[in-house]
Amino acid sequence: MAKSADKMEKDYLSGIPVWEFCCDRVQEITNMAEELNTGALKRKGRVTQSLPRHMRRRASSHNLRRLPVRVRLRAHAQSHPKQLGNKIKPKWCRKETRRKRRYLRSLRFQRMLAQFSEKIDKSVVNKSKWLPSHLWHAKRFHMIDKYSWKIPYTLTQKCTRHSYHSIAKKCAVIDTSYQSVFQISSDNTPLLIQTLNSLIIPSLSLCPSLQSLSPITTTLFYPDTYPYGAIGPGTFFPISPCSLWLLVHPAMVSEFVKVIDNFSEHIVCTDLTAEIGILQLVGPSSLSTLLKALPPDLNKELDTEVTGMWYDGFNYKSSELSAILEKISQSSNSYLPDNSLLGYTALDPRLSLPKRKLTVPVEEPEPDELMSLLLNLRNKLEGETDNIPTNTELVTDSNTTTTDILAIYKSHRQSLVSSQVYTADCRHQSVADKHTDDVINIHRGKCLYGLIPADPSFRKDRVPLWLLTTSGEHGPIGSTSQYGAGIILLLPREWIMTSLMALTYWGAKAVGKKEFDRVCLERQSMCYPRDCIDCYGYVIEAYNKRNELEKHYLSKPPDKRLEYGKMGVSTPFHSPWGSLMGREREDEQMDDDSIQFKLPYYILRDRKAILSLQHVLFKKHMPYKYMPRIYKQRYPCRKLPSLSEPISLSDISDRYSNSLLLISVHMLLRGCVEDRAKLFLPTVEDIQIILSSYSKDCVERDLNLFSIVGTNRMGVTKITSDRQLIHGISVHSEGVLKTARKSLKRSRKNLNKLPKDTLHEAPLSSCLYEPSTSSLDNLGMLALPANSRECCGYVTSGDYSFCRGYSVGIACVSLSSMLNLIHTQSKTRLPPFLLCRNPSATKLTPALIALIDHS
Amino acid sequence: MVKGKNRYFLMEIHCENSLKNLTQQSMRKDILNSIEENFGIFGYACVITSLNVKYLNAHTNTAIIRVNHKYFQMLQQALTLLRTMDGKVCMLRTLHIAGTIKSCQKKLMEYDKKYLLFTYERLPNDYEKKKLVKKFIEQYKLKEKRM
Repeated sequence: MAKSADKMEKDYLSGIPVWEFCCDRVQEITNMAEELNTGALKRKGRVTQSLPRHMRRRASSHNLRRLPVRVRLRAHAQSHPKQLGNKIKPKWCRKETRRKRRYLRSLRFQRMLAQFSEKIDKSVVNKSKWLPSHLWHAKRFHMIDKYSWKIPYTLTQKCTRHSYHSIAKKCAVIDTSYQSVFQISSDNTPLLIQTLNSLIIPSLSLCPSLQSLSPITTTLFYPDTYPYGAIGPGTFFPISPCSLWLLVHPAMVSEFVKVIDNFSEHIVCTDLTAEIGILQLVGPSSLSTLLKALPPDLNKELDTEVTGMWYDGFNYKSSELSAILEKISQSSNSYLPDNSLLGYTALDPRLSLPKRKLTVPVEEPEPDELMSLLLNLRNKLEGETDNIPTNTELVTDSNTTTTDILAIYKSHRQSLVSSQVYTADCRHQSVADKHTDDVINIHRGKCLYGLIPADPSFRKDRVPLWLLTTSGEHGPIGSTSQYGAGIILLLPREWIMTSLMALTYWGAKAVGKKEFDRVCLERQSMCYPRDCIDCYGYVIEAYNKRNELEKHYLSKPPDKRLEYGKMGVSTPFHSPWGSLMGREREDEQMDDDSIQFKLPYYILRDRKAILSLQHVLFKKHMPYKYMPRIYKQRYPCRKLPSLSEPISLSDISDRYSNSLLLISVHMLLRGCVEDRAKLFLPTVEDIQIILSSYSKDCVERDLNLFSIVGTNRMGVTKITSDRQLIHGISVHSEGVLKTARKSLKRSRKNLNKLPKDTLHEAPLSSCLYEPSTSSLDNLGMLALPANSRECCGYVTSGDYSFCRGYSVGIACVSLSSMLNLIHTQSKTRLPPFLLCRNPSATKLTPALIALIDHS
Repeated sequence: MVKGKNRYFLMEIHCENSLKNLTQQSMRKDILNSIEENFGIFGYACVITSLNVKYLNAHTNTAIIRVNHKYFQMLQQALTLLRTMDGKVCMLRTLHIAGTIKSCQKKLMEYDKKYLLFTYERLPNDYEKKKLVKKFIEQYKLKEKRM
């Protein structure tokens, strides 16, 4: 060699272009790495050739089970190339590793998320829309298709008590983002008020609500059709004197849109359902859980460097809000006044998650108690025993905290009520500034002690909130229950999932629609559309339910079906409100030109009239304290609100002749009142049975006599025909009606005179038959003879009540029946009761009733 | 039946000029010429069936050569005595001999990384160092995506 090896190497290196040298080597390294990882897969040749020799088997080409499990799938793909596109894998191939399956599942969820965002962005016709938290709920709840939304119905767990327990004692949360939010605004404020006033009860007005920015929940009607033509309930959230938000149920959206379109000339109505999400919290510790999960942004020093943000200069820096929120967060016993609005900006809930999921909402000790504990500890350590404050001095009075909050809220109402959630720019900015979960999780992994709420890296992450407190006071007049109080929370839709996760981590229990509807039943208040029988939503739902039940009934073989004909049930699958009110044709009266869906009857919503009736019912019977124990336990009306200038019964019957009353039904005996159960007016002999057992020693078995009461057949026929004449099944002149009424009175007197033995001679079935209708013909049942008892109403929802320990229900009865009841039972001084019969039962059971105030 | 065993040589080619025109076929031909020159037609006949240049990178001057395990010493000696390739004066240096090609590939990766580190430490300033690291990461990510 001319040169030495070292020198050659030096020359070689000195002449190398360094950058190219490095790039070539980098390229080679990556190529080698790729080849090492994937080389085996790219190798050509059959699978059998890639196996070691000791594992190769004869005739493995036609029987792939002779090959090792790990290569069977590849061998199958090679031997059946046409099936390569199919995703079906033979069973004898090894399934993927758990890691691979999890990865594929995550890919599937990513695809589902992409589909989900498509469903939100595009309005997909004939397909159900997803809630923002659909994927989370789908793993834990049974989902149902309702109102063109996929709604979580109930938990997949079989127990329901824990949901009730959370609602009654702690906090439960439900995603109700399927409810629609409309923004209604107008340049002409008086015209806006006038238009909206035509849609609500005439005794109410939206003017004071808009001026004072106070929310209002009321029933909406077609324009100027009160009391008929109810559309459904709506909650108004006033923003300013010329604009407001309206929260409506999805079942009534189509009707509401038709109505509001007529006023499109001077009113602008925007659908914000795709932008606003709604969470509802129920329970006594809702507010404290909310403030922990979504902590308010009260740190004024945090954003001294950052200016010009959407939350800058808003009320979160005001001293009033910080004072009120600090007081609330300090004590879990304090609460905001009912039906009050509060808006604030919250920090990112993901930054303040607890380390572990809490099963019980945390109740922090009072700060003064904490101080006393620390003082005690310090004094013990230092050996001082003097100057230890006693507990009595330091226990904070929750009442003073509540009164302080009320005082602050009332004095600074205007600034506290407003929120940035109704400003579109702020909403969009808060969504744009939101960091993804991946970023937060990576940051959480790097932090030594976990994330802190005021982390400067995420200072832009803020959630604008608007909350409305709801009371649990609705229900039977005179009831003292506070069950079901909670909060309605409005926030941007993209923040729903994170807020729901934070709330569940801080102790709130997620519940479904079934548990949430139970709240209305437990506190005995009207639930739309289940109990609003004069609304379009109810008619549609009842029709669908009827078809579903009939289909289910007919799917069973004839031997297994319940014989409703023999049992005497004429309409087991629906409640014929039209025939109850004397109008056979209860179908929709919808003209093509008209926008109105109008029924010939309505639910009485005049509060004064309802209170007057309840006063009459309450005063006519024996005082509550003298009632027998079993009645006292179950009588719903404990304390009547005061009423000045009550309306007389004759005025009520004249003004509201086609009306129905919403009542609560409390069973006296064992057994559960079911949906579509029938309510009957008690006859004279029924009242006698109750009277005979009405003593302090009255027990259940004394009341259980209605099943074997029968009546004389002749008397039955006569009473029935008279009743048919009176209650309008056939139209007659006034003279005929008068004579029928007189003969009815006479027949009743004659019945009382009959000896008692004859009363029990009639067979069991005769007292339980119902008026014949034509609705049974398609089911192959016979027309039935008439009944001795008058049907006065039907139960719309009924179930066992965990609060009370017996069965309760919500029902509608006709006003005429109620007046009849008042008249018959006023002399006996019994509490008002009706007889209830379930669709699948042969017995009648007595139930105490009270009117419900739902205005 | 007995399995045929091979040996794989990881070679580095040192040449004064660029070898960008060198191909696998031309390299194989040169090696066979060297074997014939040094071991005669017998040696030529022994390795003709099994000799193959499996991998050649003219940019980094590396190659992987396969031969039957019986005659690997013959090849090693012939490669040592090989003086020209593609008409240019060169020197072949054996980096690794292995029974599988995978082992040679791993060894090649290690060798390249060692050279890279050597170069990285001798780069004049931080800017160049960052540039090199960035290039490496980019290349690696591209490969990861493809995989």
